[in-house]
Formats: sequence, C-alpha cells, structure tokens
Amino acid sequence: MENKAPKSTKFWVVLIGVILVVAVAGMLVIQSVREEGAQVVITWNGEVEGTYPLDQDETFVFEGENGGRNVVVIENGMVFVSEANCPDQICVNHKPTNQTADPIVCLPNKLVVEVSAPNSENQLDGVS
Amino acid sequence: MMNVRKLTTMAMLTAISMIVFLIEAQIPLPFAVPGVKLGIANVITLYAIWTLGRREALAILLIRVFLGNIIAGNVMAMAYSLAGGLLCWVIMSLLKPIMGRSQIWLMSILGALGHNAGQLGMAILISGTTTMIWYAPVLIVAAVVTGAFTGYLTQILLGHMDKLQKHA
Repeated sequence: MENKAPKSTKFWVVLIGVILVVAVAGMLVIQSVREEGAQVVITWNGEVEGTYPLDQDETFVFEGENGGRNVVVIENGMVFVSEANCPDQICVNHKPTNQTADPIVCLPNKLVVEVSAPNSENQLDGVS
Repeated sequence: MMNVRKLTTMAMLTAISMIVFLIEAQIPLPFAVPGVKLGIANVITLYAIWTLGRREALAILLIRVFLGNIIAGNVMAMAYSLAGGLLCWVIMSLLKPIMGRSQIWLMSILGALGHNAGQLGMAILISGTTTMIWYAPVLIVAAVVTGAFTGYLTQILLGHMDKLQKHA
C-alpha cells in the first residue's frame, strides 16, 4: 500500500518539538509555583477523606472494599505513603513531601495525597 | 474473510504482547511517576497496524488489555490501560495513511502522547480530583522518550521481518 502524501518528517519533528518545549516549560512553571504547604488533603476512592495539619504526626490506614490498602504517614512536617498493596508501589517510592503541586498518587487503589497551601488565617510559625 | 495465516499471526502477536506486558509490569521504575512505563507492548500494536491492519491491531490490543490485566491481578488498572490504549490506537490509526514506514518512530511518539493523555484523563475521572494534572508535563516528556524508543524498535523489527520474508 502506498502512502497518500506523507507529510515531511520535519513537520512532525517540529510539532513534537513544540509540544516538548511547552511540556518542559510547564515543568519549570510547576517547580516555581511549588511552595511549602501546611495541610494534607487525602482523597480515597474519589471522596475527600479529610484535611489534616502537617505539623501533627499521624498515621492513617485506608482499606477499601476491593482489597486496596494504603498507609499514609505524617511525620516531621512531611507526608508520605509508607505501605501499599498495589503492584507498582509508585506511591511508596514517592519522596516524602511538604510541597504543593506534588501529589502522591496510588492509581490502582484510588488514593491521592495532596499538600495544600496554608489558609490565610493559619499561623505556621512557632511550631518547632 | 479471515484466512488461517492471518488468524495464527494475530494469535501469536497477542501472546507476545501479553508476555511483554506482563514482564514489563514486573520491572520497577526508579522514578515515581504514575503511569510511566516503556510500553514495549506498543511495538506489537504498531507492528500489527503496519503488517495486518488497523482493525486487527485493535483486536490484539483489546485482548491484551483485558487478559493482561487479569493475569497480572490488576483489574483496577484495566480502565487506565483501556483509556490509554484506545486513544493511542485512534491517533496512530489516523496517522497511518499520512505517514511512511521511516516515520513510525514519530507515529509512536504521537500515539504515546495519546496513551498518556487517555490514562491521565481516566485517572482524573476515577480519582475524582484534578490534582494529577500536575503530572501532565512529566507525562508528555516521558511519552516522547518512550514513544521514540518503541517506534524505533518497531522499525528495526519490520526491517528484520522483511529479510525473513525474503528468505522464506
């Protein structure tokens, strides 16, 4: 089978190049908008489970009816997933974070852990 | 009419794509980005699109997504695989008539972009939060890299299969 009219390779390379440049710019923008947050929003199974302060150490165990299990830990002002029974373990490998725009996600178990910025009335200082 | 040769080729390709899919699922990745993998099974989809046809490639893809995720014990992942795989197939099928064989690596990149977009969309839908949109730029860069890789593999594969055909 002959191709009708193959567009030049250059066309596609330029198109993909533009997409790539936009994506890299997007990564830089995300880096720059990241800031230290004060609280953690945990979403489990598509519903917000709760919002918890980052300055109080706590451990949450989530167990779903379909066998999903995740353990979320808030420790020393950072949040991370310490344990999960999902096959990919991406959430467990995610570095502990206290940054916004850096969500920890467990796709198979539908868990999203997201740090959010402090509310204006929150006073963060004097924690130590 | 589907002849026996075509049917056995499709069965073979389905089996190969499932094995590749299952092995790949066992390889841990050093960076924590949900949904990022090499996607070597896409070599089979590309190969099928070029040697058998678009509909045949779709059939192989659907069986792989269905059986692969069941065997991997990861039924939850099926929705993500399906959304990604279908969008990838749609894009590559649309590109097929306007691309040459030396441009498969480009077709593969655009397909991988569709795959990751579909997966991200499904993830946002299922998780009920839009926060995963932060991953979009990383997923785009990953798609360009992995897409180029699997596309180039397909071109090498097609070249070798040509030689085999000649000597058969």
